[in-house]
Amino acid sequence: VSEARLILCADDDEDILDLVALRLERAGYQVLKATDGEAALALVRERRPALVVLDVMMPRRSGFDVLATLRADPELRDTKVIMLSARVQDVDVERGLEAGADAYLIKPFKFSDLVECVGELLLDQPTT
Amino acid sequence: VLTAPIVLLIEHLLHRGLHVYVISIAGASIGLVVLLRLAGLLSAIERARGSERLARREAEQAQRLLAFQNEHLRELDLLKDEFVSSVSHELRTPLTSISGYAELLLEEESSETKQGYLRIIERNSARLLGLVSDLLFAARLQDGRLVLDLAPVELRVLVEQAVEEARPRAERAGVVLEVNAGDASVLGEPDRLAQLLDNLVSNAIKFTPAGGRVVVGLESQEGQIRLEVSDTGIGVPPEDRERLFERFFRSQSALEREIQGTGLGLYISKAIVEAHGGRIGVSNVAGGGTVFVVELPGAA
Repeated sequence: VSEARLILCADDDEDILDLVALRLERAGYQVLKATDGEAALALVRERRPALVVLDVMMPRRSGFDVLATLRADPELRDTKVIMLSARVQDVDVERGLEAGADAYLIKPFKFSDLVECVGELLLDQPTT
Repeated sequence: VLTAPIVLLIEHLLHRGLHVYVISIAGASIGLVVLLRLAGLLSAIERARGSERLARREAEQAQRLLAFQNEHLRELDLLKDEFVSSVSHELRTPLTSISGYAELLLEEESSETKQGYLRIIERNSARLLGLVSDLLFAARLQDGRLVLDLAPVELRVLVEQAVEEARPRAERAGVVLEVNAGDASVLGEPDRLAQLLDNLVSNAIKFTPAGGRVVVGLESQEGQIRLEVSDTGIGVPPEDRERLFERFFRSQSALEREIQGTGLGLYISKAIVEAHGGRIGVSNVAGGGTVFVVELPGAA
């Protein structure tokens, strides 16, 4: 069972990672941080966050790769995923949504929009 | 060369009444001539065959070269796509931090002066983002890849939005911004049309000195939609009018006045208008100023 107020943020750019984490902590969430895809997956398995904020271009395992692994795992497939990407081609956005992302934000985004997006996704999460 | 002595010989033999020899010699001569002709013909055919083989070999070589060059071009194209996409990524990532931390500070800052400074940072990172997006867009345009996702669009709403977004800029520049938009439906892509409107309105404001006026007009007549963006600005020199829509072209009058720009806005605007099956033109307004006119087919 996932932790309802726990969010994992994964981004190899630490300035952005810190800001995402700060914003979400201020909004009342508990935040875990990872700077590559491998570490992100390990943390998801260990801590079961309700939502993952995933950067697409990360070392070791890309965000798409992490997303695919989550969606293929019966125990993790209900984790909400927001993809962050500086890749703006429509194909990337399509690819992300087809791979099962719940939302796709293009960098640079407004951080208040991200917080709002998290709020919406976790609201329709059944309370556990 | 051979015939003269043969004819002489035949005459000589005939004279002596040796008809049998004459006939044999004549036969042999004719045979010889036919043989020589045949040999000549055969060697001509052989030569023709040889040159045909050579031509075929050359053609094959040219074809291989062409295939190789095509492959090379495809690779270059892919490389360019990757380059553009990675440049975009590399520029957007730091911009995310710059605008993100400015956004955070702006919420925390109580001093109005400092809030003003932070808004300048935000505004300029938005501008930089606009440039990055334009460059990316222009690179894709060059490959002729502007494919529109068509939907019915109420252009009046987009015009009003573009004007409202540009209003703070107009106020800073001391330019009066007016809108006079009637209903006009087109079949188009809303994002691209918004981009077109933003380009034209921003341009008009940029080239209009303080105290001037920018008017955006929209009307629909007999299935034809006419959008006009006019200003009381510096105008376009006649010699620049033709080239104004070229990629990276900057008017001499803009350069002289040090008005910033990349020369991409109108190039992109023209591509958007044409992808929607329309036309764009520019002319000077009597008494100074410029008017851009866009004609688009209306939605049935």
